[in-house]
Amino acid sequence: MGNELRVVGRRLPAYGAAEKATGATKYSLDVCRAGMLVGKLLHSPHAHARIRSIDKSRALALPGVMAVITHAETWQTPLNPSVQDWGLHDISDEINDTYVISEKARFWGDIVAAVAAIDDATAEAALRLIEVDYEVLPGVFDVFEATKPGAPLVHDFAPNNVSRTFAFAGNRGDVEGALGEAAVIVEDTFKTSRQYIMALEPLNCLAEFSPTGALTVWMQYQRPLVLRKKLAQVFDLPESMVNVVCENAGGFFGEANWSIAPICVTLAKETGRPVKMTYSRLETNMNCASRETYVITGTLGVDADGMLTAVKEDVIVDSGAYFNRSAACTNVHFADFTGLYRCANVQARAKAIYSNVPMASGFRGYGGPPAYFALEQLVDMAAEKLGMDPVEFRLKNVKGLGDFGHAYPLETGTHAQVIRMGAEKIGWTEKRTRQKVDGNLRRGVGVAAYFDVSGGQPFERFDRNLEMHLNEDGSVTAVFNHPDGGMNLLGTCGQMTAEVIGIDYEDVHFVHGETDGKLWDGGMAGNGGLYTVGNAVVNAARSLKAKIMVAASARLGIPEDDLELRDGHFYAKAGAAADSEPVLSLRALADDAIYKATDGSRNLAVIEAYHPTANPNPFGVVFTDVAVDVGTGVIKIEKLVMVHDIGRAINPATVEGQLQGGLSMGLGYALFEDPAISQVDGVMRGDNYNSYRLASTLDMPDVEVVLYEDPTPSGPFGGKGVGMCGVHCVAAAVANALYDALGVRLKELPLTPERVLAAIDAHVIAQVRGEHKQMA
Amino acid sequence: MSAAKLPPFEYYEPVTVAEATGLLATHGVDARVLAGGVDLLPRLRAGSLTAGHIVNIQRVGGLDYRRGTTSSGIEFGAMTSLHALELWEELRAGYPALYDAIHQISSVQTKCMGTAVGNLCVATPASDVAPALAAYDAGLLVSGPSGDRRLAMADFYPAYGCTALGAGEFVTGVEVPALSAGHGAAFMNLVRTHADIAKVTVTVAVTLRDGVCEQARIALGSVAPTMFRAREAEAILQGKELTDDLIREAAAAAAAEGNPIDDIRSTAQYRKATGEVLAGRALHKAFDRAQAAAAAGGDRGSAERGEAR
Amino acid sequence: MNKQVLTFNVNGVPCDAIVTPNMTLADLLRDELGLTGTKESCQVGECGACTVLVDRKPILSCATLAIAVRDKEILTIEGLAGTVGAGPTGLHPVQQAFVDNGAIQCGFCSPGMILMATALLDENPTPTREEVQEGLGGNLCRCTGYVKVVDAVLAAADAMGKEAGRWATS
Repeated sequence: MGNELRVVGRRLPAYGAAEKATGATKYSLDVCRAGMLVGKLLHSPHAHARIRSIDKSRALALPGVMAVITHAETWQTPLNPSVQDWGLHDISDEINDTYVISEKARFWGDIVAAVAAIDDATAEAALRLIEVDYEVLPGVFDVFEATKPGAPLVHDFAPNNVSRTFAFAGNRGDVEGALGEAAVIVEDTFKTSRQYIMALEPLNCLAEFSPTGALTVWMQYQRPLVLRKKLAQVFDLPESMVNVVCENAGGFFGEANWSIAPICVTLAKETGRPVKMTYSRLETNMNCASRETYVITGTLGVDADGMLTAVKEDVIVDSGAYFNRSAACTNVHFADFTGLYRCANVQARAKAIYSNVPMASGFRGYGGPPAYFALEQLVDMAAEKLGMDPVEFRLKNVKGLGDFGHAYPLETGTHAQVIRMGAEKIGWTEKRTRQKVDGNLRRGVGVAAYFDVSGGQPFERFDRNLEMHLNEDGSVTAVFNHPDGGMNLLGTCGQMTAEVIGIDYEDVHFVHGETDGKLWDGGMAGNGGLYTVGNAVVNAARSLKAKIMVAASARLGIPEDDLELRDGHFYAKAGAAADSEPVLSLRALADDAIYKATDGSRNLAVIEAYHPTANPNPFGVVFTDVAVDVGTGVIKIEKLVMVHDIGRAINPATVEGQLQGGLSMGLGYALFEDPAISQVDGVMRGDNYNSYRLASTLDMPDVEVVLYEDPTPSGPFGGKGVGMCGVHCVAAAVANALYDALGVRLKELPLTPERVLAAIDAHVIAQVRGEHKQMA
Repeated sequence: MSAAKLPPFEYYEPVTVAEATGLLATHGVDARVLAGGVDLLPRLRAGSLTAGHIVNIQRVGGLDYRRGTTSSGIEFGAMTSLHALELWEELRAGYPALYDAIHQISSVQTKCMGTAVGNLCVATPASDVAPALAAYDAGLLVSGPSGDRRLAMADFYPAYGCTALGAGEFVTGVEVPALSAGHGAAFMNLVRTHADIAKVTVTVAVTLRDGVCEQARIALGSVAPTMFRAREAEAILQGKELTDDLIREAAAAAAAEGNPIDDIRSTAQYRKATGEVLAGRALHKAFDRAQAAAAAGGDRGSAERGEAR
Repeated sequence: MNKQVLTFNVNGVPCDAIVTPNMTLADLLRDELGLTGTKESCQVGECGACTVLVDRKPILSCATLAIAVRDKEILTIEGLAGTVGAGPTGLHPVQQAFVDNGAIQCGFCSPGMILMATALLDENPTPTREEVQEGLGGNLCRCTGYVKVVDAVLAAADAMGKEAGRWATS
């Protein structure tokens, strides 16, 4: 790999981009089947209610209504909707608290019944005819109300609505002792908000049984083989009789509520016809996934030299009505909060609680953005108390070679350089010392650092299996189950395959969109794509390449070491004919093998079973230069710089795109995304894009994303993870910049102009009071 | 809550104003005018309004026009799209606050489909265009079964969500009067994101003559059940020299005339505070523009007073 | 409410469909004509995913009645390639620029985004970066953060030069 790379590192078009650009790409939303019925859901209008009875008779009597189902007609065993078991990880922390259709309404919009009818209007009419006798119960909508003695219980098995208490597995040292001796202690409490995924494709599902009882389900889902397994269990089918089809999805940012699938399948089973369910934007919003809200009380202890000696946090995590991915999100949160900097004494604890709001799940970044919002502000507070520059403080405490990341030793030590690079690009020193007052504006600059993972190993099983073979036209096909949700996993794998084998990027194809015929794969999450799938693909490509070279060598009578395969042709490296003319095309070799060989040499194919034994951490930093209007509280980000240590960018455009997209999500988390769940009745007023606002291009600040490359030894071509990283630090960097600009620290998200103005007013009042006190 | 198709309705395509008003009069409150559809169809789908009869005025002749200048006044028709208005140089150069109010609407698609008149007839207190037109003393041309009449923009909303249109009436066009020599106007608003409905929206216009404010218009939206002109605040400025103190006083008075609420976009407290801030800033900006206009128009008095400030 | 058979001009081809007045243009395209390239995400006219061009103007098909545009030229994403200056790949220069500049991730917003960009360049062949952003303000994307989308539109403008204002190749 010492030679220049031909394909890896190039900004090639993403796999499938041309099809997407012409509207040819089919999403599950676009699929129709002959004779299909329309499925719709009945939602609870109450945030918390027991269901005494449901009368379906009038709905069933309506002509054109083919089925009406409730809890009674669906699988009676509660599950965890994040579909995370069967050897994928230790499930002892998970809670199976979710039924396919709820037996009790636990949030406004919880599913209580479903219908299948001949058309949309009939299905709507049928919903209105279902009579549900609710016993309305008082609801709890925030962590303090939920845990008060005597609070109504969301789940009977969780006293005081506490579902789990956690202690970070990496707790170590003597935090209290270290705090006792610390030169400086900072402590504060931070509240983060509930952000919803809001991917553009509405949730949808189409289920159809074949005449022989085979089930096909079309649905956007990040882990189709896991969904297949779950459906097989629920419907008592062998896995090979279930096919989950997801070739392209309109956005994958975390695990959605899977229950649309078993509900749709139940309707298909009852009616004997295909059933298609399309969620409205409101239904999608309520049933996609959200980021848990966190109340974080964090404490840092620092010695006189500015070294962190204690990192401590106590956290309350609000899962919403169902537990879902709260364990994983909290554990990631712990690892991020306690692990970003070097520290011998750490203690992170949490309790997870239930409340009557639509549930959370593993949303891009997991517990990372809340962790950094708290940690990076505490770090700035500590730096200030020490009289130290915030960048200097971080440079003193960052990890490097010899330290551990989340679970493995760091393979490279890049964080210090990454932070320095970002500081230079934003103009840190000059901006820290400039005149802050500019008419109605106050200017400030802020920093926030992060680190992340390249997959969920070793805590989750991110093993990969795939098959790869040479086609008769000299192209290569890889077969595995990974839907395309927009991260260009396939394109980057294609670039690496082309590089390893010596063919063109356009000659690598993927069969990837349905579970039928695929080897087991646990699906996509946690920045795991490039690293785990990429490594598996590179391994497979190397194995295939080896087979190809053996076959070519035998065919040509030239030793393997004297042959080179590039651009789909073999060249002799030695002798008079060296390098000038190809001696054989890969196509001819393939053709020969496939059609003429009489033994196993005809199939130039490999199967790869990849088990990751490492998890290199990408490190990064975000700097923001802000201007705050003191009359309106409006924050304008004049410039945002992000430097991300990617190891090696297989396709720089893809990596930049992931980060830029993550930043737009991080921007929303920081400044304006809000589902506006009423604290009175639990109604989610952020029902559509006009109430729950996403960033448009007009809202994006001037963003500069810089990729820092230092190839990581265990990564494919040295690459590491990136997908979740853009979301982590916008809020923290803006909050720190606000403090630099105004001298006020906002500890609750989102950082709205209303909160900024109120903080300015309070600050001014406090200053005035302070002056009065001095005068008195 | 579920994804729905549009409910069924009777559908008409009149080709004359008289035909349209006849249909509206016949079907009463159960009939809705369809112009651009950007507001009507989503609301119908959501069930927040009902319509048994939809009268599509897109094919009614004579409703798509834009003409005039600042010296004659400008006018445009009910089917003139917001995009056609923002591309109109006369409007952009001559009525800059109205231009700004239209231009800042984020979605080009909405502006291509949607009409200014349609925007006004939705009767939301959060329209940016309505206060801008009110600040320019615009009038609405209305046709109905009993004939035509003209309504002042400032008086178009008797109550929350309601227009002053009578049975069978619809707005066929908008007239915006000619501007005096010393006229200056400014538009400002506050939003969560660019595409969002305004939390506070303010358009201010002042006319200077001989250094004195001959006329002031302060129109606010999103801070009361309807858009309104802050007439007490306007009276403070009328006939006076515009000093910083006077502007501050008028801005405070304008905000005090509002009655904002808490909603998903903002709080009453924030709207009160920033309504005042925006009114003050818009007044300063309008004043600066008015001075420049007055000077260009040969009114040395207004320009000199300004230099002395 | 009456059903009637109407003829629509979609991508230069006359198409017959059974239409009721309450059918939106999005319903017609996706459900009746099988042209699923036009996407629906919000159904309230807020996201721009359903954008198509009607008489060369960008409109939201979820908020447009099919019957109202029966005599107009409707261009969907499926019909864009081949309308003007198609390169060796056959893609319209805006489509090609999106592909070449990393402006497409999941692709769900892309049809609406590409058509809006095409309309923008039709009206303003040499936009500034700011003008491109203003032109795309009504198209939401949750994947890209818009940076490369704007880059792609500017690249397309360069590639098309003064051709951007022309519609047909012949």
